[in-house]
Amino acid sequence: MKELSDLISLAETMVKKTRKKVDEIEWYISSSFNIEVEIQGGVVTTKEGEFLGASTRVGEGKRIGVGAISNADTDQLLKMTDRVIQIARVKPDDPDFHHFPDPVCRPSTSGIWDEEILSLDAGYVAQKAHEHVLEAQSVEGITFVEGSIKIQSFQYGVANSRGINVGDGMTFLEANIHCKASKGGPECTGMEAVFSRSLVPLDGIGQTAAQRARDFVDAREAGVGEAELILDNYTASFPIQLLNYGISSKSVQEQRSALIGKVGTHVGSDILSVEEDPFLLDGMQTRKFDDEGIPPTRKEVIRKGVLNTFLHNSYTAHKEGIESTGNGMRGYGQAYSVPPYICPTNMVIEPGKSSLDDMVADVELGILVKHYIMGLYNSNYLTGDFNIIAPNAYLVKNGEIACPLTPTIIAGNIYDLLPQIDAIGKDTRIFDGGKVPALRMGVIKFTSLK
Amino acid sequence: MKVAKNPHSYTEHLKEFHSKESDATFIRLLTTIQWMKAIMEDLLEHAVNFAEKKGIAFLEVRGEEITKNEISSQDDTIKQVNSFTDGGIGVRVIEKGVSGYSFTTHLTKEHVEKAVESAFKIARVSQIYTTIRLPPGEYPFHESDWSPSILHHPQNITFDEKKDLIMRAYESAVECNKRIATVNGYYGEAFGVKTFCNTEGAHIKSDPLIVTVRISVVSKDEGKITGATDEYGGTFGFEAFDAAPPEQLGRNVAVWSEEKLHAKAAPAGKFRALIENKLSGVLAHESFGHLSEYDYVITGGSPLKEKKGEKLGSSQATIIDTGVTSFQEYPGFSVPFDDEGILSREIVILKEGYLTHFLHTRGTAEAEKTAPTGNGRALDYRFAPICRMRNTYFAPGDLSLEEALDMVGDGLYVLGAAGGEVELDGTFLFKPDRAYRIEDGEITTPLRDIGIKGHIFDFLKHICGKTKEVKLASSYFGGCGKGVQEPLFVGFGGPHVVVSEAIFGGTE
Repeated sequence: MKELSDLISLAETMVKKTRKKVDEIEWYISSSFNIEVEIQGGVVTTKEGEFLGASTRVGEGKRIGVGAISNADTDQLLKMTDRVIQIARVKPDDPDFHHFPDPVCRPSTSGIWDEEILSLDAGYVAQKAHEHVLEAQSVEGITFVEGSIKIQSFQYGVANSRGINVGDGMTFLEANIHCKASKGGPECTGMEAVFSRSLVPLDGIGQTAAQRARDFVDAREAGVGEAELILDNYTASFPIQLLNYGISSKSVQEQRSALIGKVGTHVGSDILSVEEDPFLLDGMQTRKFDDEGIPPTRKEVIRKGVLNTFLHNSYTAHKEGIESTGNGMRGYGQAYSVPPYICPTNMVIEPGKSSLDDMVADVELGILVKHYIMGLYNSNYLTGDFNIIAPNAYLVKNGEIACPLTPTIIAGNIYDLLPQIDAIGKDTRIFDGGKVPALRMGVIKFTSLK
Repeated sequence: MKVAKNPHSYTEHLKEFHSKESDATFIRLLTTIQWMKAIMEDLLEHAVNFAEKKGIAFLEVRGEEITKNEISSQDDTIKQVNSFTDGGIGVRVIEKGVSGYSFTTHLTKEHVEKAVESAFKIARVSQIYTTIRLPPGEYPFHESDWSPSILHHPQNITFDEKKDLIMRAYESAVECNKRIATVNGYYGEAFGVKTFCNTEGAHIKSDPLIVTVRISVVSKDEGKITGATDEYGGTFGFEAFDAAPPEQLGRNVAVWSEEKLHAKAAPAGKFRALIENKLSGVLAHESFGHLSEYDYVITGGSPLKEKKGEKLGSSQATIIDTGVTSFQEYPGFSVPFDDEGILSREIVILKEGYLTHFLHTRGTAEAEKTAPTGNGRALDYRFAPICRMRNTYFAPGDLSLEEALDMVGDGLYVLGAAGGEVELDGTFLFKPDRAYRIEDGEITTPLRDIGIKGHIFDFLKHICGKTKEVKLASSYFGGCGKGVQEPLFVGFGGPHVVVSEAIFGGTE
């Protein structure tokens, strides 16, 4: 695996070698190493591998060309540069392109780089995954278990002809256990997932997932109706994932956001504050620079219900005559294959004072959605309408959890629900896009039929 | 071991490539980086020889170099032109029925040897945790070379012609609907070379191809905002756009987004319904196809375990999965061989309601004591092949669209697929892109966002009619997900399907 300094140095070298060919140029070099173990039933699939690649963006007047290759051989990169310049030259002008970003100096922080994760080998990871699967299988009534553990390191260097020359590295651990349970009738499911930047104990995740599945073997149907929606601190990440689309300046500039013209107005209830926090110590998205080399900033996206800002990469920012907010991201793994899009770092909902029990206690008729949901990506990101399935939902009646429900459709609109939030949990939980507490969100339509 | 020798040395090849390049004016987007092709075969041969020297009983090695080109526009401006060439080598060792996988993007003998050693080591250390072993069986080696039968390959088409496809769709859209606020156009193509060798002597080369034009609009009126998307994609040459011009995509999204501005809230509950081609394909793929993948069956993950031969659906329920189709205009995505070197063959998974076949890799076929079906597919060289679908569809029926609407009488008409998921217990959720009420056999009110939920067995039992025409959808911009391997190019579709009952979740 290449060192971070090698990646930054290669990006800088490539800028030096190619800057005279074109008005502006940017080089992005990334490498990633991962080990993944999946155990499905009794079948074990283990793999490890490393990939390294490069991307260049060239600016020629008002034209941009983008190329990428899964290689870092200097001769090949030079050859690709010529081809990308050809692309840029035949492409029509884009009046919204101004220039690549200038260097920005402001405080920022790298997330956790855990050498302990990097010291693990495939055999150890397979053993740990096996232990969690065995733990889940030992629970009575469990009919099927699948589990996986993935560890990954990711590093990138980015340099451009305007003087940017930076990089960062990060490590990840992700573990999942998914179980089915049955008492002879229909099967039901349960899962547990852990996201971390460092090696953390995973003890008990098999049992947790198995118990969640078992809790639903006597699930009932509640018919069709309206009820208050309560999300635990696992499923409360779903409003954030829809909101992320709306606060992207690309969505706004392309007339695709339901939040156009809403900066400075109430889009949520007075108790809702959402911050984008690139400094979050244990955040999965904590990073010193975005993938254009700009330090991301901490932003109060929503403060006491009022929308304050949208997120920018350099392209959308320059179109509006402002500077990038450090949200030009390419993702992880084969990041070099994706030009910078707009994505937040860690989205954090400010915790409230309630326990989940308190939030249930005030509800006459509600649906408590726990652990995970299905179908979020099928939502209408444009309007905020969603239709999701909650495999682990409970009916709440007169302040108490009445019974587990069969997989239930929850339908509503996120922008209608944000102003209705009337209780926020005190315990937060890390997910892969930030940190959230439980939320009580107002009235939704449910369909709970067998 | 039998691998064809590359007729050129690396240096000769580079020289030849450079001389061609210097002559070329820029009529194409970036095409495949030819130098990879030159060295790939040598490296694959080296991997197999190295494995044999190490005493490895079974090894597969896949070399891939795929070029992906994309053009995107907003309104009448071309915004991005991207080209990505992805090349690498993946190695799988199977030792006593347990596999180990490793990959590299470093195209050197040293790194390939390291990958072989790593895969071998992983296969060994995984032995103690494995209770279900999947030995690959034995197949005679063969050599094959496949290319799609097309007239105008995208690598011979100019940038301007490709750009014009999305501009034509844009112009057609804004001409039809004055409430359109923004139009995004996308063109995507992927092509290249996949080469497969193994220690049995197989040597298989294929040239995958997918081309897609997508158009997406936003319409606004009196504070309401709606969107619509349409696309046309599959394994075809540019001649396909003669029969399916992009203007039609533009007109479709213009009309659909206008309708959605006036759409009513969708009802919730159980209804009779007519399900259009693309959505019926998503249902065939998600609701049933995944559960017929034998890796889920053998490990107990699928509710189809021990149900072979049982009647699970109505006599109208026939579902097919195949590698290369004969549907001219809507062919889906061609998979001539799978990533284990097995020739694709047509599999009738469900025949008139009876479960007749499962989908197999080499290992799962051996476990069921049957032949592999050509369903061992990997997303790319970074992944080991697992059981995956290819082109999955409901077989056609004998109804016209009017007859199908009459059969529904009063109910819902649901079209397009914004997505779909299925749980391990057979629960599914699908999100149609559009929905209408059907009243007395007539399509009436457009409806807003709606979901269909159900259990596969219930759904298949309620199929009561199908139309005659079959269309398969496939897209460069999306595909099938399984575990972390997504999006895998697939085709899905079928006829219109009538169901006597399905559960819908709306907000009315």
